[in-house]
Amino acid sequence: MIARSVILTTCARIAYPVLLLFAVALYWRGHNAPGGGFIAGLLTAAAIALRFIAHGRRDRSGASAPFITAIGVGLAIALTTAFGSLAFGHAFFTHTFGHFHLPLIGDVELATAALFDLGVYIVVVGNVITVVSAMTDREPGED
Amino acid sequence: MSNLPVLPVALPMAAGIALIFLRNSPSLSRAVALVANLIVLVLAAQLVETVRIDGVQVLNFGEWPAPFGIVFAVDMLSALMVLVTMVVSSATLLFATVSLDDARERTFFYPLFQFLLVGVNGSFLTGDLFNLFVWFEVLLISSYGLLALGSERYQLQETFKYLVINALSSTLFLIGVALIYSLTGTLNMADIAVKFPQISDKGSAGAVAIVFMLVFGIKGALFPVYQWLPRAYFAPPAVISGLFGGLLTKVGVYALYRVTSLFFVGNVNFVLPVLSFIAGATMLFGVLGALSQFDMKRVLSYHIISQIGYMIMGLAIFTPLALAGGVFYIIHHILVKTALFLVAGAVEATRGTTHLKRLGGIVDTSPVLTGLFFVAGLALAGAPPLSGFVAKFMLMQGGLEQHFYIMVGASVVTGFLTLFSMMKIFRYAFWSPEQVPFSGRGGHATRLVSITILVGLGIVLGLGAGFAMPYATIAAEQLIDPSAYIAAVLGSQAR
Amino acid sequence: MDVPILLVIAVTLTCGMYMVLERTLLRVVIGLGLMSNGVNLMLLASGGLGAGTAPILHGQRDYGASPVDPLPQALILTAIVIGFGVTALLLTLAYRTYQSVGSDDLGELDGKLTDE
Repeated sequence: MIARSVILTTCARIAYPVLLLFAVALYWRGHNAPGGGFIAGLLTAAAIALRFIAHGRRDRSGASAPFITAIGVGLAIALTTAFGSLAFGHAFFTHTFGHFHLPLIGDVELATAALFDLGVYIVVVGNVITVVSAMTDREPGED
Repeated sequence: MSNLPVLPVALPMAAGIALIFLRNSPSLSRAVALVANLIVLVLAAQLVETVRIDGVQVLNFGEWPAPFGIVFAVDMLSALMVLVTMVVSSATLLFATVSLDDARERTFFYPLFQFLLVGVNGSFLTGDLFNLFVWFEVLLISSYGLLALGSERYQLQETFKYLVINALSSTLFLIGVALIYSLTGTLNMADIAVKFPQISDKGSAGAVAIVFMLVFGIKGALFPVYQWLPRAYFAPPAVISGLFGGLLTKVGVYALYRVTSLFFVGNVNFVLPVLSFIAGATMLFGVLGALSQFDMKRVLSYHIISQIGYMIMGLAIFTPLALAGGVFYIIHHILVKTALFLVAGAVEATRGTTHLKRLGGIVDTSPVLTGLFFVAGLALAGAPPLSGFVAKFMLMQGGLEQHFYIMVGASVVTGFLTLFSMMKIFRYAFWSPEQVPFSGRGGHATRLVSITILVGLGIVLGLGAGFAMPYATIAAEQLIDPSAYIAAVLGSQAR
Repeated sequence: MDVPILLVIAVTLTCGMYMVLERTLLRVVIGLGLMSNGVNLMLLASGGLGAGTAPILHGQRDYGASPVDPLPQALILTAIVIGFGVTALLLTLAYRTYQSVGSDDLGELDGKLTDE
């Protein structure tokens, strides 16, 4: 992580917010069209990984811990949506949706399935970043 | 509609998630994991009773009707498997809390353990072929993690091989799924059971049967694709190999029982004869492999293979008696085999090795452990009045009634060789004088408790066979005549 | 349409199997990836190939003339996600094995250490 490419860092700085916004768009679109939590998560993870590659990581020890916790949080969100239906006396994983009128945005369809997708999104981000860190944290021979 | 069938999957999952957050506090992790396991154990017992009284239980996920959505369908076999899974995992967990080193406890042992249970229970409960694939992957990915836990060199290389083998068999599984979907247009197992006889192309149906026998043969370590098992199960600490040896291959066996009874019997002629050949060969080759080994864990690993042969024998004969014997054998085997592996773990923890030539004199240092091994070994070999005897007796009687003389002969020979092999371990490790001077501490009481639970259940199953047998008989009847299963799954469309 | 996809599946699976039988850890991983892609194509073919509209209701009330079977696509999506997880695990494991064994040759994994 000594030699850093100026081109890469500059591009990464510009690309990072664009990628994140695109990920949000994909997530939102995923409700009724191709898209969704999984690929949005992959895109976000790719953006974060790009930053790692471009800028290096200052603190390399134990940096993946928050992402492991993120996996837990994501799983918990996803499972909670599945359990939620039990509280209303329905079968496991029953989802529902409703239309809400939000100011400025207009009529919005909010579904509990989107919450499940949010869990998926967080799990994917946490998972990919943990894997990337596991492969980059150590120098060869270092344990 | 009751949500009971999903709880043996959902609760371990919730516990596993909670344990991710608790990973830095081993004492809290142990408590949470044990409590969660015991709750699910109670629920599993309730599930068995519900199935016994009310028949097959079905849960449509998300309230999508049967052939379209994913279903959980619980018949007696599924419920019994979940119950025995929870019994064994509770005992193993108890053993793990006092025998794992701190580093392993902190690197996600408890979450992975719970996710393994999620996968195992899910495989037993699901009524959808593709969903079965998904649960297999859940349990396999957890098992990769558990196998590699500790990252010792031997573990890493064996895990890599185990992973490649299983990834290959998963690929084959998907090929089978694709074939079935293109032939029948459905993946709901009950729906496939209805549509499979209507397939006009008998050759394709046979191809499906071959693919699935190969897939579940690899997962269940059947002849001729069992070579991956002994080395992979030797690598991790004995707690983990005990859990794997007891449970994982049996998921493959269960799946073979399920697809054979639902799809292939009566539709594909060669399945049962091939299975009977495989059963005999698996028994003999497994036990011969065990005889050539001189390490307790390796001997026990090879015996897993030979005993899977008995389970497949029950399936191959396919009469109510033999199937009940097969189901009984699976339950007996899971309990007793795990107990034996835990004994090996206790020996390893005190002596630092499981190699027979470096052990000896355990009867002096821990007589209780010796007694437990003796009983469990006899149960494994099938000595009366223990659980193994009842199961083998039913299998052999079923085999003789249907004139499977060669297979019954093979099973008798295997039984004697198993006894020989158990006595070899007993003589070298426990009874003989110490070969290497040993000055260490004795066993840990909690370890003995967890082994005693399992061995005790083995004895109870043997003496109280009259109490346990109705459950196995119901399971066998449901396997022979799956119409109740099919009606329960597909009939819920009308509701 | 059937014969070309059959050929593609066959070639992908064969190449994958060939790679799996190689001795280098990384090639095994690549081979498994190829094989899982071949099987995904097979799942796609299992739903029947042919022209059809996307089975997505987006504002309209019906699917139009003939939607394609959506189930194989859902299966493939799941299989891809699982394959992604397994590949990530395989890569990490291969890397760790390489670190601790000091070689990426599967033949050398069966050193004297493994068997007594």
